[in-house]
Amino acid sequence: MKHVSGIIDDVTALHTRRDLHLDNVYRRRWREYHLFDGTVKDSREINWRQVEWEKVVKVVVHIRDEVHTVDCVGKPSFQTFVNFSHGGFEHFTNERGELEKRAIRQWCIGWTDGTNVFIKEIDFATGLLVREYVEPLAVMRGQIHPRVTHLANRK
Amino acid sequence: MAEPTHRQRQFGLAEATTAVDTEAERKGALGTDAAVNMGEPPTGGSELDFGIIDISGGQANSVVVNSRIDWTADGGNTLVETFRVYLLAADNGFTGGSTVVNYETVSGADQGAPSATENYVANAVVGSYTWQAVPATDPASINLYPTDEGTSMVLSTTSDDALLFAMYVQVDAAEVTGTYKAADAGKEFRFTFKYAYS
Repeated sequence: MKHVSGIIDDVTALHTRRDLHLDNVYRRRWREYHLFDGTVKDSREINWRQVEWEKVVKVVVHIRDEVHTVDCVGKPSFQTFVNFSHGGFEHFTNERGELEKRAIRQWCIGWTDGTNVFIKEIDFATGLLVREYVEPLAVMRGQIHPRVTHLANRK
Repeated sequence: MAEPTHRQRQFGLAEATTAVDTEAERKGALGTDAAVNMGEPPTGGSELDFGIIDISGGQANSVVVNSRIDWTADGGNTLVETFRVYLLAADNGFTGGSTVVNYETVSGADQGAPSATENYVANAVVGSYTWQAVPATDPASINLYPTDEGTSMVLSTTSDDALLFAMYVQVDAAEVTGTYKAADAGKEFRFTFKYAYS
């Protein structure tokens, strides 16, 4: 039986991955691509476009202590996963009722049935779910993995 | 991967149609360029400026302003997509019932059969385009199109094209007068620009 401190060390190493020489911001932010054979690909080690996307059965976002998952279980119309980010800038009202500006930094994961895309939008800073929404695949075909040739529509 | 780097530039109404009819031109430097940060806190007068609108004689319109957005560094990403601009209610201090910010995505003349855009017109006035109101909520779907009217642009260090759009403000006759900008209380005027990348 493994000593408790050893288990804690393993968990810490898994989360911080000091061996990867990452910017601090990505030590607690990563995506996992779970393949059907049990293999897990880590976004801190591999670009998602290099993953055998047709074998992925689950995508997981880890941001700080928040975890968000999208899988293909119970989705008979499932075609493929989507995996992208949002950029830009937006304005919001702070706790003092003042308008402030901030950069939009969101990670998005979801799945498509070939017609619509079902998306989870996650705040990059906090890991909290911003919203879930549906968007037509026709306006975001570029975000389809290149190995999914029957849905992707590259320029 | 980091977020790609984008920039917003205003260009003059008098810019010739032949100056923006290729991808390289739309991304490059134009003679009438001015750096602008649409919605950024005003620094050095870099806001998109609609000028002075005189409503003493009733409802009035601002001048048309031209803007373009492109990407100068890809941050390790290969695609940008689903471009949209919107003006949240909280960012809009106008109270007049018919005060509206209108916009239109414009394309270069190399788009021979525009449908989602209109070909750029030099010295544009309100009657030059068929406008649409800037949405008051995130439309989630694209509402700014590149010239080829696709939904995405390839990133290879820079984007392969730029987004061009025209805007003007239609001001209600009873609108509260004053300068509307940034986060000024009761006179807020700030846009949101959002896009997807990977």
